[in-house]
Amino acid sequence: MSATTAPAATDISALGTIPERALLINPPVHDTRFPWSHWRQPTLLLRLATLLKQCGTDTKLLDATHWSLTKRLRRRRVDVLDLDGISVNKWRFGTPASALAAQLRALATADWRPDAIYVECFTTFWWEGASEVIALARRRFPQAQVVLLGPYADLAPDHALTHGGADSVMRNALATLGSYRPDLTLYPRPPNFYYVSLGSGTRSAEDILEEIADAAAKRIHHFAFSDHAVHRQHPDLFRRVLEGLASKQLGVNFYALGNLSATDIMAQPDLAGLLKRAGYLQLHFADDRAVPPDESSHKDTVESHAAAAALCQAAGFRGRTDDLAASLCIGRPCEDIAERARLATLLSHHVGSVILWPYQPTPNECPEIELEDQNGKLFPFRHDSGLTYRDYLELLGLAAVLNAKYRTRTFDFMGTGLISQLFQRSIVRRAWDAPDEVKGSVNLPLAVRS
Amino acid sequence: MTARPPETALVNAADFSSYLEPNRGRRALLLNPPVYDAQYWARWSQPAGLLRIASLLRQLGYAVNLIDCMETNARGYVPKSRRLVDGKPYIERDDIRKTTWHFGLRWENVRQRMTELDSPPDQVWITSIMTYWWESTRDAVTLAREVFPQARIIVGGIYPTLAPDHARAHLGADVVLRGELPQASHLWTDLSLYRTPPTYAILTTSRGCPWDCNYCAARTLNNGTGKMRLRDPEDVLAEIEHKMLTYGIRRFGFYEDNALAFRGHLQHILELIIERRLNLELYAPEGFETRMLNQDLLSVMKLAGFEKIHLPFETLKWETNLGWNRRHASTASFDRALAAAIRAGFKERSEEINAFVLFGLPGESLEDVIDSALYVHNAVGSIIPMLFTPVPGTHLYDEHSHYLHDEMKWDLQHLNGKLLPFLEYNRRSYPGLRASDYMDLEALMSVLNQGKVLSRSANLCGDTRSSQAFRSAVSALTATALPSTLSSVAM
Repeated sequence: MSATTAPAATDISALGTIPERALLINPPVHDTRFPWSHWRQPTLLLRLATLLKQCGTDTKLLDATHWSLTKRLRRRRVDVLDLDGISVNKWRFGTPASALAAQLRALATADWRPDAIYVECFTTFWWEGASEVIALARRRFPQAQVVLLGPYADLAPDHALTHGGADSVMRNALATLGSYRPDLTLYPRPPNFYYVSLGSGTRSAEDILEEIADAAAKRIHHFAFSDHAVHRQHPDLFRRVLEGLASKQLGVNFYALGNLSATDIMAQPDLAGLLKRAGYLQLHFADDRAVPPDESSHKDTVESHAAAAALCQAAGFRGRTDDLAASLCIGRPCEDIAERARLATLLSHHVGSVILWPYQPTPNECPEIELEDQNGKLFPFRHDSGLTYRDYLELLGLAAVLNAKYRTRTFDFMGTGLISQLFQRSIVRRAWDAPDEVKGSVNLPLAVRS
Repeated sequence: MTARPPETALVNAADFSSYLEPNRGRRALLLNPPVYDAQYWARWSQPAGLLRIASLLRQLGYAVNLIDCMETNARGYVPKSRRLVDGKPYIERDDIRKTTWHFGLRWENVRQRMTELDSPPDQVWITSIMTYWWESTRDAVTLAREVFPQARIIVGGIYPTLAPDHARAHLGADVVLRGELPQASHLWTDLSLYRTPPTYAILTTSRGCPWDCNYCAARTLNNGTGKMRLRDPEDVLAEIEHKMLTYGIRRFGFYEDNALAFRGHLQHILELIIERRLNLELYAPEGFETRMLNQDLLSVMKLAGFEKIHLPFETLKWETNLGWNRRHASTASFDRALAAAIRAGFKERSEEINAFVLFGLPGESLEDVIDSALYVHNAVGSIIPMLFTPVPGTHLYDEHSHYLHDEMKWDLQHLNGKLLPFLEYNRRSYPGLRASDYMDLEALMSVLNQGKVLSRSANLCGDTRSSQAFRSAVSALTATALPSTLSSVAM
């Protein structure tokens, strides 16, 4: 693949000296859960690879969370956290350290020694994985310069230098690399999905469509746009790409992973049909973290989701299946968890399912908490909200019931079908609190009675 | 395949001794036929009765072969292939479709296995379990007749015991055996006939049940009596130890009419297991009578190797239990057993404690079914939905036989619970009732089980803020919407 836009001089300079050999490492993940792991791809490293190759750099990749290698990502427990009295396992997901060390050793044995090692760390609270691979790589290649990039480097550069073990950080790499195509040839077997970027709106629709067609020709069938709020930020370009996809019929599937909102669909009623024709299989709407949690915004959220779901269903997306999902942010400071539960219930009723996304604070929102404990999945603001970890588990449990599928469909607890209505009646009369006369008596065997 | 014109002898199994003289030269083929159904649960499906007959025949000097068409693969599945019914790979039932499957070995593979036998058998023993599976038994008889025209074909099992005249008229077998072969009742299942040893074994330590619930066929299967018959606990232990030593089996499932009805019997067996330090995984997928469960027994069960227990909750309402002639069962008994189970170390909301909820019965109240499901959801977190099948030989079947066969013109294969045989009947109470409503009911119970976080199921009926908010949202809607939208449904 070739870069689509010639890198500006400042872009190249962001890399410092162009290395002869570069090793790109996507580190393992230290977390209590690793949801969406099959959608995880070190897109910055893969775009960087394209740029480096253009500059003549011999580039290799070690991806510790690559799914195709083992089908199922390996995990090892590294800690047990005590969260308000609940023990929660913390895992290390990805290629074992011994296997990573062996891969590094194999490179050295083949006399392939990098001048530069680039490590992408997708989020601040995963810094331990980055630190681990940097230490491993340093041991094997002590002469190499280690550069950290990605959100960890952007948001906590000082921590990255002092704790991560890097020699330098490349900040705001996305701005530099966003217009480059990811180089999937670095994988022995290419992944079956592909992130496309509109390159901050600087790319042409034709170029983007050509990139998608090239990837499809390499038997990659699943795509997602990596741009945040892709429709709101670049409505014209996004539309032109969708129209191109609809007319080209490339036989590819697209997934909106939180970068389209219900209001996008509602504002342009033909958008849902265009998304469907362009090959969108699943729409996971953006969550409401940008919206203040007050009564009027709740009403707007519910109404926009109801309208968007209706438009999507009219366009051919099947309600109550994997095709559509609302999203809701949980864990913000001073949160009313009952309000979140109520909203989740309503969104699930209208859209079919609702994904709860833990709010992820930036490091300066809670500097008193260690970086690894700022993980949104641990709900670091729970005590400020007068809540416990158990409260959030209960909310997640509710969402799991709301999203549970029976033969591919979720159950509409607030629906108008006979069983839904009878269920509602049972709830209203608290059927589980049945009086003794309904339950009957204990008819013990004679010997026990005596 | 067509059935042979019947010259079928209908014989009470107890009178069958003339066929069972010791005979060294004889050969018998035992056949567990495939299953025609929309779904099949492959766990704990070993043909235990047939495997006991195998032991009996071997004792009598027969050379015995087995073709178990329902043998599972290493992952616990049986093969399946589409089956056409009236030219279609599905059955339409009201507003739903059920895919029709042939579960188990395909007929060409069964034929091949038959022709691979060293010598043709003198007798082919075919077991037949569910009454609504009788069609595959008929096809098994026809195939056996084609391949082994000289063999005597004997069909036994639950179907011929409960519907002997139907079996005699439709199967084309030489002999239809009604009831239980007493000589085989307490024998060990012979697992040596399997090419690949099974990973589990079924145990039956007692037979009979003193109760006569009006949907249950146990009494008919036990010659019309509620008398209990027990195996010697030492013999049960010897069977367990033999299967452990010979096949490496550690998983055992108790299949009994009522394992606890004779107090102390099962507990004694379990105490022997503990005493001998056998490291077993024990299951009783059909459940235990709740009023007989106490903490002492449940603690012994836990120690002996029960990881899960199944409780026959069936229904919340006492009056419904009375209507089913289940005076011995009640929600109060369930509560008591549940409390004892928790004290004994079984965890609720983790699938260690499970409870059955029955639905699909004639004249049922759907409100009661949902109330029952919610009760179980709140109490244990794991509902096992049981779609009711009317079974010949039960009071409930007899009461509705005219409706099923004369009004609806159905044969036994149509009485499969998955085909909702009482859908039209229940429209008398719920005029708008559709088959899809029953699917919704099953879906409701299924999704209530699925909300697990950190291995514990969520409780929508609990006092947490999230559960209360969920109920508040549902209740708010109910207050405004229910009266008009439910108006078409008779209550």
